[in-house]
Amino acid sequence: MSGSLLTLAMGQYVPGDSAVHRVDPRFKLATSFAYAIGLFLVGGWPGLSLMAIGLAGLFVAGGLPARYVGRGLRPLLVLIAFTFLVQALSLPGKALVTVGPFSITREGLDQGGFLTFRLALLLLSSVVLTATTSPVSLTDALEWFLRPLARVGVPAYEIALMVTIALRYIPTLLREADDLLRAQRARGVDLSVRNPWRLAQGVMPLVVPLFVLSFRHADDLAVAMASRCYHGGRGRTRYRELRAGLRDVVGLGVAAGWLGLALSAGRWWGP
Amino acid sequence: MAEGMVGQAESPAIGRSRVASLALCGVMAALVAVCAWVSLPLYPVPFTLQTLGVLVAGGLLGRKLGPITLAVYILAGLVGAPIFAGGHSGPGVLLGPTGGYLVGFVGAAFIMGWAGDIARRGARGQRLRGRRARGKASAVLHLAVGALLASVVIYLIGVPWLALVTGMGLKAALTAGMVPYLLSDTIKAALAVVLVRAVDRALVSQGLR
Repeated sequence: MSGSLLTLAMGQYVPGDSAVHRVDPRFKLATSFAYAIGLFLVGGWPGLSLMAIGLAGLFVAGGLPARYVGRGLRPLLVLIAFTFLVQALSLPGKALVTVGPFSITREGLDQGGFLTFRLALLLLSSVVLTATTSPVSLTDALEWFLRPLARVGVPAYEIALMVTIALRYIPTLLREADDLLRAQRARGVDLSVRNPWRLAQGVMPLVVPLFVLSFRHADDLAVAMASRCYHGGRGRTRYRELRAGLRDVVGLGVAAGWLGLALSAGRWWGP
Repeated sequence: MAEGMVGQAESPAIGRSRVASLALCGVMAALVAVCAWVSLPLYPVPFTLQTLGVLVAGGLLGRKLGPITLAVYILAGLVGAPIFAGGHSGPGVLLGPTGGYLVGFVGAAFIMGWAGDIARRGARGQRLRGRRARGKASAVLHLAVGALLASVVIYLIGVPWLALVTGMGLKAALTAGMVPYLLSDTIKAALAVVLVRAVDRALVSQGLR
């Protein structure tokens, strides 16, 4: 364990004023979901290439730096590589290279490449969404989508409120976790040991205070809310109202059209 | 739930209200997120506190608030807080190869929460009848079974999901998504039992429960 927890990414949102940034968050959230599902429905390379081109277009239009591609893929890089290897080695077909009992086949490479590329696009689609849309406006969008469910008893407003509370307390608790790590290290707790028993002993004085602190924060917050007469979501007005304009509808239309084109690519492109 | 101690300046009315539940679920979701960030080096894969956070939060919050907290955690990740392991976020991650583990967390929190509820009720009953040791043993047993079942549920949803999304087949998914974590997950299940009891005691002594 080295360095500070706080040096880790505190957020992926890149403030900006591009067309992608300004589109209504509800439309972006819906498009992002449709894109992710579309990736699993798309049948072959032509369709997948169109999906990739569409995403690249958004990446450029959103003014995102190129290093975000690497940053978006890094957490699952091992998994992506593993997927590719399993496919490349396990599918039967015409062998290209044979090493011992393993042989890499043309079919394997094709299939492995396809699945790997699809995974990469899936992860990058999230990067585009979260880098161009602030978590707060996405929470507003989420609440809007949940609102119809309020009729069947799903408390949409309160769900959104809990998400907002979670977003608000992540930096606070992260700082406290960091303080606790330092405090324990100063007392000689060594968390870089490879002995599971010693590690478990080191984790205890870190996790117990962190949980107790969290309960205390929750208690304080509840008292603060109750003393300000919090009484639920009914009849509350909002500081920010979501309003979709012509530009948003056009954006959604373009995205939907492109998605339709990609999904039907197999039909008119041939086998 | 609220065993407010006499003389503490805590309000039991707030402790059990809807506002208190809202605040608690929100803050605990943030805590699970923070746990996902802390990773300690252990062979063969890094030991993250993510699953541990899920189990302990579930065990402390009970079978109702536990799953809600984990659902809030997932939604916060969905809207772009970089809270999933590795600082990732967004719908692509939820629908991606490791999304099944995240969904499994909700089930794990439910099971662990249920075990926690039983353990707390049972231990209190035995304590009132003056059989402290028996209550302790029964609580540890319930929590241990809960922690193991909860870990199983995470894999039960996570591994087939991984196989499906990556198209790698169940056998490869087990190799990549379960076998390397078995050692650290056994440690985590045992640690979770100890931690739930330790935090519970600390909360009671500070009048927070």
